[in-house]
Amino acid sequence: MPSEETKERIIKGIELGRTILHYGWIPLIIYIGYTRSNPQPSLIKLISPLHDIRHTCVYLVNIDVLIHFGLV
Amino acid sequence: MASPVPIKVVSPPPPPPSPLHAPSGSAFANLYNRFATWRKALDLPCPGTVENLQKEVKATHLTNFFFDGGRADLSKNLSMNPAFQVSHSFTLGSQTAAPSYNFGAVFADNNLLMQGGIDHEGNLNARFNQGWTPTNVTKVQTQLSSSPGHSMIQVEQDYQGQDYALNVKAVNPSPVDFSGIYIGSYLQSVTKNLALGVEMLYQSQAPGMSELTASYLAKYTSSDKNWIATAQVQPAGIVQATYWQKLSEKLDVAADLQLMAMPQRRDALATLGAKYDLRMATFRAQLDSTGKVSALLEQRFAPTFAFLVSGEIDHFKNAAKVGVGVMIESSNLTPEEMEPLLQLKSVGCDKSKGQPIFSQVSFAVNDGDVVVLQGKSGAGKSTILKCIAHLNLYHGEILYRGKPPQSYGIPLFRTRVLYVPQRPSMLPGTPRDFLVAVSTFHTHRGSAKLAPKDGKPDCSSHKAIEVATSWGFPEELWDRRWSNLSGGEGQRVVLAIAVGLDTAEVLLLDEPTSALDAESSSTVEKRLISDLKSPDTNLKALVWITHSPEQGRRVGTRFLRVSSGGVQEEDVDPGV
Repeated sequence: MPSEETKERIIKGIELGRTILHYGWIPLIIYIGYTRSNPQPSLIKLISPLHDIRHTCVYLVNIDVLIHFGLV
Repeated sequence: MASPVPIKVVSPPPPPPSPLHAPSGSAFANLYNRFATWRKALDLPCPGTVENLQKEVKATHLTNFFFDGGRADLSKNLSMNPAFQVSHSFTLGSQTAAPSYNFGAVFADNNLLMQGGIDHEGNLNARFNQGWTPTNVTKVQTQLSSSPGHSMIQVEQDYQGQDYALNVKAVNPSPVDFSGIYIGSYLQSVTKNLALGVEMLYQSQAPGMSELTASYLAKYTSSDKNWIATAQVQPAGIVQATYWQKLSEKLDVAADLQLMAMPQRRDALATLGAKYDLRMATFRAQLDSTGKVSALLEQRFAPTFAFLVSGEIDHFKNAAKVGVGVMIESSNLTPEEMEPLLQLKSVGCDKSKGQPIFSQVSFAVNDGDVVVLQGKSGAGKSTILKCIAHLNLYHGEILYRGKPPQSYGIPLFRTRVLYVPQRPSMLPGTPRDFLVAVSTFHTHRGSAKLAPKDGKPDCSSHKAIEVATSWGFPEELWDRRWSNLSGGEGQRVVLAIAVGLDTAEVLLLDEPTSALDAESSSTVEKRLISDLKSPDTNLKALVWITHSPEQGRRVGTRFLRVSSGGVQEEDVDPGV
């Protein structure tokens, strides 16, 4: 059995690791995904949901209609 | 500490197939080797993991898919290979959960999976899988919450052997007092159809307070893999039995029975469900013994847009739930890139008298796939490859990036989807003549690596020569006549030319290493896989015929078994 002092140190270490993981995990995935993707995506596409909605509209509505109204 | 069996390395070594190096005279090792050989000879299938024991049932039932209220999922595919996706999910108006927002991100390549989700309250869900080999995977799963007592972590190691699956798991292990929950499970195929297993759960809350419980598992898979029955029994009085059957291509049905007969509590729950897979929709319906009837429809209107409706009526409680959702998927890839690289739809091929060699062959090859085709000699594996490359007559549809080969022009298509024969057919001249000839073909000229400087290709420093040299094919042999090359030399040089031209996105390999020794074969495998993964080459997928199951396991990411009735995808669990 480890001594009280070691125990405390281990618990503190776990707490620290937990905090790093909590705040760092998603940024880490985005960093790895962003750097390793092929082709590399643009940052604006990564964040903006607007781009997606327009993209879907293009699929759903006949593209000619969109061109007619000057939306594309 | 003295080991009871002194293990020392003594020459001569035992015959190569022995997995354990037996010192002469070690009865134990001899016995083990004989046992291992005998076990291998039984050729039992891998039973699948314990975690996936009821996978088919769970995928058929809608319990895991049901939702109520409104929800919207917006996901963005930023890259296909490696897969990188971010998503935003919103839920609103559920009877059981508060409105929420969740941001998720996933990154996955062939052996790594990282997934994370964070909600508006700052709770994090994380998953991390690392595959050391396709059958040996480490998984970590955690939930971190700012409110104390809601966090958990689970670390597990998953190993699948030839005919067994082993898993060790620790939930909330504490390095201070070793408290936590530890689970070990083992599932072993005992016949071609039946697998039996045991799961041990050791729970230790505080020093001195621990508990060990065992449960027993059984799984029966029919020979055609169209139905699966499983049972899980805990001696304390809990039984769970499931049955799943694929009634047709479109319809799956599943039943689940849970019984609890403990002194303090007696309970039973039976659930029946069905799933229809239509072309643009999936419909699930379910009925259970607590009087709940539920249904879920997922209708896809476009490849990127789906609409979901769910409903549940609780007849005993006189209550109802309704849910409506949308799923929007977007991608920065062009529609062409979203299509599978290669797609076969009900492809068949007949012998001269109308007798089919094979029929109804349908599968898709995606970016990064190494599809291993297995099957008896004469099942038509080579013919399938020739049909794909348009070297054989077929009926049905073959699409390359969503379009038929004719729309690219057959000669160009054949350079993109390149068939590599097992042996060079009777060719005139030398390999160098052949290389010069193919390099000057108009369709090959686009490749920058060939660019002849003075207008006349000399091919003296061609990439194919470099590749062949790295496979131990001496350069002087390039000027020897084809008829004077041995089987192994011919095979290597044909493959080296295919790799060196680097025009192909898909290589169709017909037993590419059948005439090579183990060492050369391994160098060839490594080169092909590294070219596949490298962004600097055009190679994106391989379709590989091999008669060696070991080679298949080394290189394959997907496995297709060819028989007269078509092809069947073999279930391998990549652990993701």
